[in-house]
Formats: sequence, structure tokens, C-alpha cells
Amino acid sequence: MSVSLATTAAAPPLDSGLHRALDDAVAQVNGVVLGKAAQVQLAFACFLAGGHLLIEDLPGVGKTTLAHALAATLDLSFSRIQFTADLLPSDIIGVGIYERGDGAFKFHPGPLFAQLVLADEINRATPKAQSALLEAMAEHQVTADGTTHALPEPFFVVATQNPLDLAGTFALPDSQLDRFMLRIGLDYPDRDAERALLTASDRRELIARLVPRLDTTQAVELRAAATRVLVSAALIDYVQALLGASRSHAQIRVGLSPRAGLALLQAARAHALLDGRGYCLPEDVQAVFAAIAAHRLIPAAASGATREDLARRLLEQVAVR
Amino acid sequence: MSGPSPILTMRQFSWVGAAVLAAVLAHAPHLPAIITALALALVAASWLHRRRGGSALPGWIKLVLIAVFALVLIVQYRSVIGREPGSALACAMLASKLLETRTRRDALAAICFASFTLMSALLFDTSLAFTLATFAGVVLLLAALRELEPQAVTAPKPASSLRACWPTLRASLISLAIAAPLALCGFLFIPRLDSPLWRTPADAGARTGISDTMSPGSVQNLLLDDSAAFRVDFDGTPPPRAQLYWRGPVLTDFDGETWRRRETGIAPPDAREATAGSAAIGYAITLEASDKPWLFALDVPVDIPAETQRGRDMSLVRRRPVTELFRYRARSLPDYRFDRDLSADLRAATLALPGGFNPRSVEQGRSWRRELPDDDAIVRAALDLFHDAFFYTLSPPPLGRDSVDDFLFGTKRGFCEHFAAAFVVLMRGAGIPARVVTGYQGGYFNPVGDYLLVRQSDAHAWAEVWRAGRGWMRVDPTAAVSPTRVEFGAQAATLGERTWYRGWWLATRNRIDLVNHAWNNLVVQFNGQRQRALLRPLGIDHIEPDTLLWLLIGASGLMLVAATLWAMRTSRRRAAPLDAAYDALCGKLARVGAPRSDNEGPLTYARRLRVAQPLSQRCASEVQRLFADYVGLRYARAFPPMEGIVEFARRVRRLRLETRS
Repeated sequence: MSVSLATTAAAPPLDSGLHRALDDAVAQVNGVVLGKAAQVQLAFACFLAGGHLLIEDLPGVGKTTLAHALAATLDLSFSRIQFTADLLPSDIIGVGIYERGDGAFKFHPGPLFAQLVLADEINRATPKAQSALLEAMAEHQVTADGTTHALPEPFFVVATQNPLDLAGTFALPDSQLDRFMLRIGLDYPDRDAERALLTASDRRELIARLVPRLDTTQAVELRAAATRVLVSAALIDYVQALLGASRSHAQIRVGLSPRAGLALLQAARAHALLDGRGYCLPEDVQAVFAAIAAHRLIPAAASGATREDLARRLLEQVAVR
Repeated sequence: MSGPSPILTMRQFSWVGAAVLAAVLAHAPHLPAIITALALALVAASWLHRRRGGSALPGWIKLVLIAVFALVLIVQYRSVIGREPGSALACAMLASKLLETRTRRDALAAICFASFTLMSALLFDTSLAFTLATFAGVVLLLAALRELEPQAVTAPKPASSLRACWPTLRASLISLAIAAPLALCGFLFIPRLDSPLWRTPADAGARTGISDTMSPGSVQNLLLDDSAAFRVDFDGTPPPRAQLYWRGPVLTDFDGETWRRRETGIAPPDAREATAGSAAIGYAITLEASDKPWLFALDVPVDIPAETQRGRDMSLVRRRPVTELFRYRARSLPDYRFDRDLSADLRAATLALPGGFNPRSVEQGRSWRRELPDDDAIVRAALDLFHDAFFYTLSPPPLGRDSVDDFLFGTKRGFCEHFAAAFVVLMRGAGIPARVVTGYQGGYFNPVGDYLLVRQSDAHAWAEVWRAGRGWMRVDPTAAVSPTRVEFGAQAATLGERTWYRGWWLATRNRIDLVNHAWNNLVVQFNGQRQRALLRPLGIDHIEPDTLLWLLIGASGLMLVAATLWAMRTSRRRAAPLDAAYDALCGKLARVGAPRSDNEGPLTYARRLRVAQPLSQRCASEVQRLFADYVGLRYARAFPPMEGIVEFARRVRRLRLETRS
């Protein structure tokens, strides 16, 4: 998406060096995760908007590959937590261990203390372990043994989960799903992408060869730039129309919350920034809407429509100029 | 505001100058030419001085100017009190103010004072045409005010100077339009008194009209004056034209040259008894300002308006001169009797003749008395004399000292005043009490507006004779000479042909006069009584002034709230014209087969158009530019700027789409 737009009042949001670095980073991830440009863009948008990402799809379509590629491209401290049914909160947060020499308990941080945390197969863990992660995501801090420990910044959680109908999973409650700014699916690759995938070398090798494209300073700078992207009154009108439609739609039991609306605007800003614009367009909102809305909408009992269907219908029904 | 007031730009100064000019010009019709010329010269001088970049004037020049103006004023008026000297002073001061107007603050003061000066011009003239002219002045004043606004200074200046004026004038007109409901509200609800609270000192003699004296030629000026004297709305069918004698001052005393009104005292309160006959005619008269106290009524009035005296001679005199449009109701009896018994002093007065004047005429009267059997025969003899040998003309030959003798036995040409005066002299010579009645005769019935228009040119003089047992009787000697005069009016009588009256311009004149009549009745004469009448259909029968005041406050408050809400919403409503223009663009594209779907954003749509390429190359690039501009206006700014929207809408209007063929 690169359209020249003359006579715009909003200043270009980034200097050219930073913008090139961002483009390189996106291109590098696309080189590993083939044929998923839209999802990669969303993943970056989620990071720039300061949210957390949930990737939901069948095993083996590249969820973990995407998460790894992101981690390798963003020069962030990285840790991976493999969620299992016997995972305990302390396995994530860390524990206080009595140090004989000091005569006191010392906190040993868990894998959560990293800038990019990959929470793999999050719905295989018990709700107790899940909520430990989700609380940390919301608060950007953890409390162990009565002491509060701040998590590093930027703090970006990429969780993956299998579709809910598979055996041996604990569905994330709706309230917890709200902690993820975006939820994306990957789906099977198209024919060409799959062929490229099959003929090319192993993904793990590719990831190992990736070089960091954005350092922490740049990442923080980009996140700040995303908050400065201009949102016009007309765009807010559109966002409000979408929110309103989600609340009055016959097939939706619970519509989008104001927090969802804020997330929508933030993600749309980040999306505009990725496009090199200093202002938001309805297209930015539309691009991120399904990823924002689908996991937050609760269909009416009799509707029979999936959440993704509902999000799509809302986009179709709300007019924009 | 802090700091020194900013110096005006030349453009701002010109606007203020134009506003001042308009205020001075509004007074030009009634100011002495010298004052107007001086004020205009001052305005021009200050403009030139400013244009040359001249510095502030030294104090002594201002002092000299003040002295000059004071001198001219005192020479002209011998006073600075009163309407005319006051407005002359205001004009002079306003024009001088421009000389020392350098900063924004000065300009604000000048505009403020110009507004006052402009308003005061309405003290002289409240006609519709003049009000519209002052309205143009108000537009200029507001435009000048707007030009003083800081943002207007930085606005880019279009190339042509005329085009440069238009945005400012348009903004001024818009402001006026917005204020119109408030003005209407004030007009309707500000408590009105039945008579004005204050008045300007009258300028007697400034206007033409019937006066209480008649000397040769005095009516002549009137007969050539086409302006309206009054308008009459009859309650029922208007009486026949021959009955339309509008009675004014009655002139009894004659000194050989001039006829004068005689104070006769008030008519007896039992006026109904003194008059008798057929049914009364009711009507309302809207009298133009005459600066005289005379009110006019059909012969003879029975019910009279308030604050008015009916003399023994049945003429109506108001307590104050009519210095502004005045509307009153009256009823008259066309078949009347009054003064059946003539008092001795009145008999003496109506028989008196100045010694040594008009001996032949007096002798003629005496000889009729000797030869003819009764009064009736004498009256008939006089009328026959006029009928047989006299001409009606508006340009009679000059008359000497014994004007009646010269007229009767010499020139034999004249118009109503000659005939009336000669007739009365003849009657008095024959010993019949007689007097001259002045007023108007006839009028023009405007079929468009269903009212009678009486012009100054309808001024007339006729005679009244007293007959024992009958009282005063109207005798119109002019009718004996020229029945046309009574039937069709003075001008028709002189020009002979009635076709002169026909033609398209007559219809136009009727309509113009109708508009003036409506303006007088609905706006200028909107007094307390009419205000109450207006509120009556709303179920308010009796309203106290303070209730009206509350109504006014409530209504203006509501309007203020509405205006505030509107102003608060205006930034969002600004998008509406942009929406309309964008819809027009999409509509044009839909007509060439590339409709936009409702949920399609501009970027997506533009891209789709570029891919589908339904348009010719030249068109396609303009369309892409339009989309880029639209996105820039609507989404790249918090609120779209008005100028950009106007430009965008203009380009969309001009867009002519050609498909690829």
C-alpha cells in the first residue's frame, strides 16, 4: 500500500531512516512467513500500538514461526513459555528463593521478564496459569511474595492458541481475550506461498539467520510516533458508527466496549504509520477492525454466525465516505 | 487587549472610509450642500493623505477644522440644537474623525460613531427606499468591522480589487442575515408606546403641504408636487369621487392679498346633533409627515382621532405638528348640517372685506343682491359667470394689487384658489357669509392595494357659503369652470386628455405606491396598538409592557442559545458541504459505471478506479488528484478548512468525465 497523497496537512510522521528501518523489518518477517503480508502488518501494528497479539489457528500453519521471526527482527530480549496443563503461575512469573548467604528470600524472575514474550499454546494451560500471564499483560508488572516487580519496556506478548474445538484446551474467558489488542488467524498458505515454503530451506534455519532490524530505542520511538498519528473528526465519526453498529446489531449479544474503541483507534494509527502516513484513513480502521473486533464480539445465541462473520458484516454495513 | 493597537493597513482604512462615506451620504438629502461638500472633501482628503503614507496630523490643523465647521454650522443654523444642526454636526465630526484614524482602536471608534450617524438619518426619512439605502450603509459598516478582524488581515488578497471586496461584503451580509431574527424579535416585542417617547424639534416649513394661509400661487406649487399627501383605507366602498373633499384648514380672514385661518374655538361637543343625514363613512388615513398640525377628513368629520381638536369650522387640528408618518381613524357624514345659527362675530368675520381692495368685484356682488331675488340665485349667477367665461389653467397670468378684480374682469384664467377666492369675495359683496376651505380633492384609487392615494397635486381650495336654516354649504366654483378637475384631478383638467394617465408606468407606479403604503402601515406605524393586535390571535388580550419585555428577553435568549449551539456545532457541520461535494464526485463516477460501495473508503475506491481504468487518461489523473485532495481535507486534518472545501467543490462541479472509448 503506497499511494501518494498530495496536499495533506499532517506532517510525515517519521524521518526517512526510521521509516526505512521499519519497512526493512516488515519485509524481513514477510521473507520468512510467506504469503501473510496482511497478518504480518497487523502483527507490527499491534506492536507499534503497544498491544499484545494473539495468533489463533491450527497447529502447523506458522504461528510460532511468525512469533519467532518477529522476535528475531525486533532487537528485543526474548523468552518463550510453552504453556502446558501442569504449568504453574510461578513458572511464568518467577519465585522467591531463600538465599542462605543473605539470610533472605531473593526473587528469581521467571521467563515473563523479557521484552518480547512468546506464550505458546496458551489455551493448553489451566486458567490459573493463564490469568497470571494475562494480569502481567494488563499491568506491565508482577507481584510475587508481596513485592511488585516492573516488567521491561517495551513489553510485547505474542500468544498462540489452537482453535477451541481441539481436545485438551482451556478456552480463554471473554474477559481475558480483551487483554489482547489484536487476534489474528494465519490460515493455510495459498498455493504459491505453500510451494515456496515447501521448496525453500527450513524455517528454523531462516530464523536463525535473521538479523535485528529495529533496536529498543527505535521501537520506543516508533511507538511514540504511532500515538502522534492524526485522527480527524470524520474518522472518529466512522469509529463511533462502527462501535454503535456493533451494539445495536441484531445478531450480536455483546458489542464492542469503549476499550475496544480505543484499541481500534490505536491500532488504526499504527497501521497508518506502517503505511508511512501521518493521519488515519477509514482503510486503516477497516484493515484492523476484524482483528480488533472478532474476539470481543459475543454473537447472539440464535445467530449461528461466527465472530469473524459478524465483524465482516459490521464493516459491510457501516457506510463511510 | 494589551499593547498598542495595531496600525491600520491601507485596505482596512479604505473600508472604514467607505463606511464613513456611507453615513455622511445618508444625510446628504437634508443637509445644506456646503456641509455635505465639506464632509466629503474631508473624507477624500484623509484617504489621499493616508494613501501617500502621511504621518499623523498636527493638532492645529484639527483645531482649524473644528473652527471652520463650527463657523459654518452657526452661520447656517444659528444653533447646534435640533435635528438638522445636530446631524450636520455629527457628519462634520465623523468626517474629521477619519483624519485622525490611524490604529484599529481609532477605526472601531469611527465605525461606532458612523453607526450612530447613519441611524440618525432615519430621523429625517423613514420611507422604504431610504431605509434600504441606509441598509446598504449598515452592510458597509459591518464589512469594515469584519475587515478589522485580525484574521482578515492575513487573508490572501485576490487579484482583482472588486473580487477582493466580495468575501468581506458577503460575510457582512451573512452576519446581518443571522441577526435578522433577533431584529425581528426586537421589532415585535420591544414595548411600544402609542406615541413616541421623544421627538426631534420640528423643522417648520421644511415640507410642502397645505398651510393655514393662501396667497396667490401658494397652492400652485402643490399642484405640481407628485409626492403622496396621505393614503386612505376605506372601511367599505369608497364614496363617489365627487364627494371626496378632504377638508383642511378653513380660511376666513382676508386682507386683500392673503387668506388666513381664524381661530374659531372648539366645535360644540354635541357634534352629532349639529350634523345629520345619511350613514357615516369610516376610514383610516395614513398621513405623511407635514410638519403642520392639520389633519384631513372627508366633509365633515364626526368621529375624530385622539389628541385632536375639531374647530367650529369642522377642521381638525392636532395638538402637535405631524412630524412623522401618522395614522388615524375618522368617520364622516357626507350629508351634513352645521352652524344652523351663525354667531354674530362669525357672521361678521365671514362677511368682512378689506377696505379699498377689489372694488369692482364687491360692486358686482352688491348689484346681484339688488337685482336677484335670493341667495340661491346669487350663487347660481356667480357659478354661471365662471362657467361661461373662465378657463382653468395651472399657469395663470400674474395678477395685480386687486387680485380678484384683475382675475374676474381681466385675465379670467386660473385654478382653484383663484376661483374660490373670487367666489368668496363676490358672496361677501352680496352679503352672503362665505369662506375658503382648503384641503384635497379626489385622490387616486389604487386598485392593486385597494386604497386611495391622495397626492400633494390633489390639493384644492373651494368655498363654503352660509344659508339661513341650512348652515354651511360647500360650493366648488372650480367645478363650474372645469368639471374635469373634480372628476379626474388637477393634472387631467389641465392636460385635457385622460389617456395621458394610461400606460404601463401607471401600473408600475401603483405597485410601488402599494409597497410604500404597506411599509408605512406595517413597519413605520407599528405602535403599541398594532403590537397588541398582533398578539391577540395568540390569545394575549391585554399585555403589560414588562410582559413584553420578558417575551423579548426569552425570545432573544432562545436565539442566543440556538446561535451558541450552532457555533459549537459549526466545526462539525463544516464537513457537510465536503460530504455533498464528495457525494457529487462519486455520483459522477457512478454515472460512468464505476459506483462506490457504501463502505468503501476513498483510498480503496481511488485504487479500484486506477485498476479498473474506466476513464480517459486526462480524466483519470484529475479524479485521482481529487481523491487525494479529498483525503487531505477530510482525514489529514482534524477539521476540514472551509477554503479547501469550497475549492474542492468547485473542481468537482467543473469535472466532466469522459470514459475510455
